[in-house]
Amino acid sequence: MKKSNYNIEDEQFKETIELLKQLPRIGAPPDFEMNLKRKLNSIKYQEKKGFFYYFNLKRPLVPASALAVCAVIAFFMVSKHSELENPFTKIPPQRNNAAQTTSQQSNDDKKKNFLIDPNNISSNDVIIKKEPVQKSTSSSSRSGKFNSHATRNNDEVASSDRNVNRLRNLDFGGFGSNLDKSLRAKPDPNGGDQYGNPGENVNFGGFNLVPGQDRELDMLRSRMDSLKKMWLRGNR
Amino acid sequence: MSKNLSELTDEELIAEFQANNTTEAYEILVKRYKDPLTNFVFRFVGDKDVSTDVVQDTMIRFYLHKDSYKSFAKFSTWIYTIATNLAKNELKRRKRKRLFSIHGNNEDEQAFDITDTNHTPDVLADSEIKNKIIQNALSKVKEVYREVVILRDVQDLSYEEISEITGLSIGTVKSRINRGRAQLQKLLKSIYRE
Repeated sequence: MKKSNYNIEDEQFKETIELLKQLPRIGAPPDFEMNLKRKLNSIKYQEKKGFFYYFNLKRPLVPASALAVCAVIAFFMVSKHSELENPFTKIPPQRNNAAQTTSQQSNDDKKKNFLIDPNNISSNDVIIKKEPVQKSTSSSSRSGKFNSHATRNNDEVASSDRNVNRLRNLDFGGFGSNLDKSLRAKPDPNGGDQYGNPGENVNFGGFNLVPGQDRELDMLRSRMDSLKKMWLRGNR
Repeated sequence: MSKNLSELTDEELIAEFQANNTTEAYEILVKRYKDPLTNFVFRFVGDKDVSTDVVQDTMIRFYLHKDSYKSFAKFSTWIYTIATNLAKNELKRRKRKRLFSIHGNNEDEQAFDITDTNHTPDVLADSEIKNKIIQNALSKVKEVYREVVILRDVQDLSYEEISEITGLSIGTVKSRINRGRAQLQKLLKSIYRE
């Protein structure tokens, strides 16, 4: 006689249990293990490697090593008795030579030669003479230019008003009228073209440096160069 | 060496894998558990592809967290617990998807609708359809009952093992199994008539 597997509680659900036990067993697909290995390999490859991984440090040692590094840095920063000289706290050496050379020269020579020793001038040095008149004119012209760029002067305002009046006086017969033709018939008295672009009378130099300013910059550069050379010779 | 390993119990194999990181021991355990776990997850989730993915995830977790297994527990209950949790997560994810989906997930339901009266007795005799009907009925049982019913009646696990896997007391396991069976019986009435 077959022994029943069910206890008293199971007896009332006998049919249901039988049905569930009859269900076919579902197995894993044949490529299950291959896919699993592939996934595991990809996970291993993607495993994150931290900064300290490359120092071959174990996790508990990471904060300790960081603390040690900080302590070493702090020691060299704070320690006054260390043999290594801190470049930030080091007092720069005084340049006595340069002071001596300048003190030897008389005040008159300074005024005349502008700290340049005439015996030491080479053929490559640029000698700049004082030109007070030219300077004043260039500065005034520069200021004039700046004014002309920054604000509209009276001439410009007048010329633009004239353009507006000219356009108002044109024969504009509404839609279909030939505006080009009428503009050509009444040319701009300032010498501008038919589309209202300014002519030669309107002085606009653009936003770049004007030739006069270039010259001034070159002069300043050459002066700086000669001063540098003189300074180097004095240090030797 | 591999012959010796295959003769070892599950607990011995995982101990070997934990101690020496022996990949062969891991592979033997995978071979032993891939089919029962796939069957359990398939009956719980109702989708073969999903069940394969869940079991693979289970095996990956087992590989990565092998040290979290403690020797006082049975290996089978430990791996079943991982699989059950992952299967539950998968069901939750699918529920969320269905909630936000416009069309829902009606395809499967239409295919295995047990209230369909078009099935003639001779068609029902076909075991494949019968199995589909049972599977569909099983998927309609409440999740907490379904889990224990499958573990008990499909996987043939003892009450103690189910209690370990689910973390419930044996009394709760028994009552849940009975309630699950009752629900299932109600759903499968049409089959009993045949």
